[in-house]
Amino acid sequence: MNCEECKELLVAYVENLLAESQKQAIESHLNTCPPCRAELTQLIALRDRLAANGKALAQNDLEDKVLNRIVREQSSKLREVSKSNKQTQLWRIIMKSRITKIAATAMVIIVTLIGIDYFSGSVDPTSVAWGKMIENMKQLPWMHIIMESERDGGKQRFEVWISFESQVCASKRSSGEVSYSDGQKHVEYRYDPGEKVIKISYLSEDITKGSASVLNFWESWLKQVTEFSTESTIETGQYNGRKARIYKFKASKNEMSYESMITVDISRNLPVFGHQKSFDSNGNLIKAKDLYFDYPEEGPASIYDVGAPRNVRIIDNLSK
Amino acid sequence: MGVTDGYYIGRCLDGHPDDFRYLVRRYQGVLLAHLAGQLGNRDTAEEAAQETLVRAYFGLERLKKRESFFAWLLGIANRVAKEQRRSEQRRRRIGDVLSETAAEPELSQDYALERAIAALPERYQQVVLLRYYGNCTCSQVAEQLAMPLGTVTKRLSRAYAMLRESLQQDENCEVQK
Repeated sequence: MNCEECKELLVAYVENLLAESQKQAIESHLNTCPPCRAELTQLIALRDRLAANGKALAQNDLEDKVLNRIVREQSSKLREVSKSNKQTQLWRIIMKSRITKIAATAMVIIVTLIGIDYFSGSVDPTSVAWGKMIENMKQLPWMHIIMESERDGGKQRFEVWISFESQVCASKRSSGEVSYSDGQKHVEYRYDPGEKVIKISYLSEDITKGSASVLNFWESWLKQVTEFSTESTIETGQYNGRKARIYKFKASKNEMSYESMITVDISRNLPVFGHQKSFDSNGNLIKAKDLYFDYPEEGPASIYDVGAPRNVRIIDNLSK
Repeated sequence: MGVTDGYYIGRCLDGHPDDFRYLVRRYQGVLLAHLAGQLGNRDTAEEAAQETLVRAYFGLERLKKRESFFAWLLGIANRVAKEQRRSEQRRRRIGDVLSETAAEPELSQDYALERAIAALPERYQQVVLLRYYGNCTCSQVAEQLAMPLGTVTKRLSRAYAMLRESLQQDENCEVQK
């Protein structure tokens, strides 16, 4: 090996990327060549200087600062969007915690289904009927919702179980993420398919309070959205051989239009199926969502029942 | 690298803002080094890094190629640094008018090195930043920048040479002073 060849491979040598034979060739050249040895010493010195500086900068902790700023700016953006201060407060409560976020997701799905796009939109002023349905849902041991959505050719599935009585919220996404939150025990389990671990963390009191009254959020949302008008119809039809009431809604906002329907089982007075489509200004379908509701007697008793694998590592942040 | 940037970006867009934390963790060192080299002042660099990450978060929807998150982030950082420099100049001008003697800014630990990195052409800079400030191995750098491992070591090698040259010049200037 000559000096030129040696210099060419020196970085790979320092980075320990060379095959054993190349490594030996370099080392024997270095033993006999003081200039190349000096070059190596300088290279190592620079590498160490870079590594030391890298380590020093890594000690900065920007995580919390950045996330706090995001939350602050998100809130102020929401404030701008929202005309009603009450709505913002509600949103802030929801966004504060994961359990209410999950529950809120279920609720937002339902609400968007009936033609509301977050802070503006509309709903049929049949809120008395909806109110009765909410009361009915509150009494049930479990509510199970499957949402299937399609956008740009990609399909997503989101499944959620909610028990208002036992304050449990569980969810599963097509990405493989599974969560299970127990409001009474103040514990949250979360399976991350990327890291392949189940993390256990503490659920604060505020959060459980929020989850207990999750349907109250929905009531508030409905109350607020009844202020807007919409084109809506109610038909009587059938769903799985049972008599059903079908609510259809149309709404439009920012050149987008939405068509939604929700089917309610008349005998139980509970929603059983929903559908929503969004269209752009040219009438092209942008997004389609299907929702299936059922009300089982029993729900998942642990994160494993929801679909988290049993053989993964558990990180228990509770004992910290 | 394990979990890709794209995965976390997807999670953020899917309503899990908390997961942005992982991207902050992954790139804070890179950003601080990159910005400290351009801005000199440690506190200003930290402020700019925060601003860059917050802007990136709110711009995620506009990012077309998720695998190019890193290069995109550096682009945002460059714009933020430019703005910071401008406002710093304005502040100084006002300071001059008021004849205030501003406190000397606190330089970051190895400003000479950071400045030398900031002066590297982009393709060399990216490799150095990911390797030493993003805590990546050479193979991870290759994966991240979608290039062969050999190219990474060649660029690193060239980057070392340029860094040494520029640090040497720096030292010579110091001696002349």
